Amino acid sequence: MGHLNRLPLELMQILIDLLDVASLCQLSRVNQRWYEPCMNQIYDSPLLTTKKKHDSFFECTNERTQRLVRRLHLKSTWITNAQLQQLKHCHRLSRLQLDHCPHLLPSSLDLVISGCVMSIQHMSLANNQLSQSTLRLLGLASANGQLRYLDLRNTMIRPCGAIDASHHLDALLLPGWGLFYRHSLAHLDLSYCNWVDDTTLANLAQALPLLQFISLRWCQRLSDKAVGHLIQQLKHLNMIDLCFVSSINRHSNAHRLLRLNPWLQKIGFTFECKSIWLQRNKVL
Amino acid sequence: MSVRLLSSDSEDFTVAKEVAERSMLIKNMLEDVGDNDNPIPLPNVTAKILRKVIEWCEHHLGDPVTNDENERRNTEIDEWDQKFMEVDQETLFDIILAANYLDIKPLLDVGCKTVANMIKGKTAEEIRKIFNIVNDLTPEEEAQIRKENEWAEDR
Repeated sequence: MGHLNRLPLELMQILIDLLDVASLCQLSRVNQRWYEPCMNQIYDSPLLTTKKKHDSFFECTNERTQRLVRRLHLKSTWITNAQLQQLKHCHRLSRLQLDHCPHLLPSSLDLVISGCVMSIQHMSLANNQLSQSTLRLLGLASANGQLRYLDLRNTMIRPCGAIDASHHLDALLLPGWGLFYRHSLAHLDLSYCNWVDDTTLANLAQALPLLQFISLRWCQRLSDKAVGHLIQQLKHLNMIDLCFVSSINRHSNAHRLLRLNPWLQKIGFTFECKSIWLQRNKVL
Repeated sequence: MSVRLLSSDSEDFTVAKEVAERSMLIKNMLEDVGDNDNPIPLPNVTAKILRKVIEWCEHHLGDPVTNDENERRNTEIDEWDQKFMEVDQETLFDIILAANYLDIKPLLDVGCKTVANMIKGKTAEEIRKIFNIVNDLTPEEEAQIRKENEWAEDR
């Protein structure tokens, strides 16, 4: 008899954790019993380390295998719109890294996000182009789902005529304004987003009560007053990055901000071209 | 201090308490019952396997306990353990199952690593042969799996 088949599921998993991907591929087609646990492991976090692997992954991806993927890091120079549009069924995806892909259409992004809207926890979309509908989906992921970490550094939101056309993120924040839902977002990076202004901050202050970290680095249009209001409103805020925000360029500004919220531990700001991190326990 | 253990085929073993306590199951049992002379019944372990397990625990008595799973997983099997695991497959899997039941994590690791080393670098057909496994997949299913995993097989 096959002794390998005597192992209970938990020991099969220990064994699987000890094997490299190439061995798992062989083991996956030894018999029915090993197929599923091996596939779960192979597809959990696909390592698409070469262009060949990347393209070959997209050639054989299907609905069933996409459902196994929990973490995905796609390389900007390899991923195409056609490939991204295939990923409609990643219903278990919890972490997606898709930075520096300005060539991707918001509509392709939307297809992936629609599939994982209830499961996604961590999403990086830095340097991409987003649309209103992308924001709406991200809002759903935060209000109804589990999105906690969102990186929107240097993004551009379509449609807009210029990179500094204001944007107030209503589409993202609205789903959480109902009575029943609350945004789960805890980490938000809006560095280098020229579209952030005082109204955007007022919206964030109202809609994201659980925010612990926010970066507003290089958001040039913010007033001292709006930033103060945001800090006061967000009771869980632990850290805020205000480097290169021109209205907060003195120690006295930063000290005043730190005093507005007893939970806030750290403020980053820029004084005479030098970035400084002010820490509560060191200064107060 | 010594402890008495009773195998599934009713053989009585007397071992030092520190040796027996390499097994978390036994350690917890001893804490529950306190000091007494009754043997601890181990209905899932035969005398043959229990003898092997005790031999292993005696040899590794002084080992530091690592709770870091990654560290335990990434260390190679040492020479003594390699020799210890040179047994027929039935015994090897019996030891693994006993280590799991008795909750002796480092022994379980050594056993699983031994099996993993038998699998590494082999084809599906070779794995079936080594472990005497019947292929219950249809040729179509096998082709399908091969296709799904093609990207991952490229090294």
